[in-house]
Amino acid sequence: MSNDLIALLLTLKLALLTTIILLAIGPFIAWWLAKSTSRIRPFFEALVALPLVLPPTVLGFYLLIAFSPNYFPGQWWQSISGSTLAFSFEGLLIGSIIYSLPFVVQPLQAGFVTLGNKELEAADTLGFTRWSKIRHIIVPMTKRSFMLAAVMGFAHTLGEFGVVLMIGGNIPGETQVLAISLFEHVEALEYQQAHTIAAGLLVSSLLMLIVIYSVMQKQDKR
Amino acid sequence: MLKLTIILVITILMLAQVSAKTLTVAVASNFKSTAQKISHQFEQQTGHKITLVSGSTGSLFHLIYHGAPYDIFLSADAIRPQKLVAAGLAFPESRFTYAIGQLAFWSPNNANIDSNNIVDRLKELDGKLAIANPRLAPYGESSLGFLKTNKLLDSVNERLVRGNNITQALQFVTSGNAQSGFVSYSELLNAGVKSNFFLLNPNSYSPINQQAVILKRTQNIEIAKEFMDFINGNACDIILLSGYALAPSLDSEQH
Repeated sequence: MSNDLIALLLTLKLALLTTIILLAIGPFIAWWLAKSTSRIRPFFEALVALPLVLPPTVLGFYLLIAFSPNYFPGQWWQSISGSTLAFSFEGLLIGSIIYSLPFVVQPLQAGFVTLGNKELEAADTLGFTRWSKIRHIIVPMTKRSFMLAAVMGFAHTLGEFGVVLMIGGNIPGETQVLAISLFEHVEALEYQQAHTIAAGLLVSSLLMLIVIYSVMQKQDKR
Repeated sequence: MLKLTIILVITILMLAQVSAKTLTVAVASNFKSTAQKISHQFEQQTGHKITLVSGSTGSLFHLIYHGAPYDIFLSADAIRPQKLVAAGLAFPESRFTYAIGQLAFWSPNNANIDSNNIVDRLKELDGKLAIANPRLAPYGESSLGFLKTNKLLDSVNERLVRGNNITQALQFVTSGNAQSGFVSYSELLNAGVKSNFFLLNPNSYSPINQQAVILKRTQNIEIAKEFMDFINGNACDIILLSGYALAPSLDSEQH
């Protein structure tokens, strides 16, 4: 298998796992942000949005420090897993989760904000449990937000570069994702391979966005 | 409020204008700190300004190839300056070896490794081994060559991490994320590292002849020549003290 194919599979695996994990934790954060009237909410809202404005190098730098066995988080990880977090797939996954967090949380939060309280109150009077409220009201009514969140999280992780460059160590099959592979081809003046990856990323990202927007348009018409 | 914003924006834009009289020198990352010392002295003696741009030799070559507005290229190898000359982007007669890079092995937590036992010790060493990316950085190429000729690649391949340039390889070790690495001796000195490293035998890896060229797109050819003469003359002491060797004879390298 060629290095680029390995990089493709690795990138898909990273994006998929990141999206799944974010879809598991994102809704809780988004719900709290959408419904809370607490005074500390803006602080957490800002925290979630931070990866949107922060240069990836800032995150990469702090992760490199945190992953180091010289400091507590890296030390702890090494004691339970026997290896370092930097230069590992798990390390990239942690980086991606932080980096793509706002892309999942923000669409969900927007969906939850527009969700009317009327339906939820009606459900309360009907004696719905919390779980059946989530299953029968909240998720169906914000399906679009969930889909948007999933695609944005996935697509954004595909494009991750700066963080990976700083903590990845460029290991084929472990941390060499497509964007890094592309970077290396360009730097080495291997334009043929670079073109393949760049065009592939461009087309697939565009397709993903077209799919999501056309689904949204269909739902608008209904 | 709007007026104030506009004034602020204009001020920032004006401040961002770089003076045209400065010389922009693209320097391979391993030589950056040395180039800083050299250009500092040059600035004091001549009054000209030097702006340094650093990156991996591969990156800088790529930028120059696509028209980056640099005056001089201080490469970490001889191949890329040759390629720039062949592509008509650099003056052939300006090319010379300004320094010979020295490869060092550094393992902060292992005191008993030296150039005699490194081949055996590398096989049993734990943790990640950092090198510069062999495809982009000459130091990485030489490091890989060392591993290959000593038949070490198979045993260390799994543990190899590649920095985008030799500086990142050092940084991987400094931050503790990699346990050892092939690094530039000069950068080790600059980082103040005092122990648990040694120089690799220069005969055990392909020589790192770091060459310089003046780029044809320069607007300051006179200052550029002056700076090259300075590197080749007054700055030799700085280069030696910074952990580099010098080319044996300055006339015999134009091959």
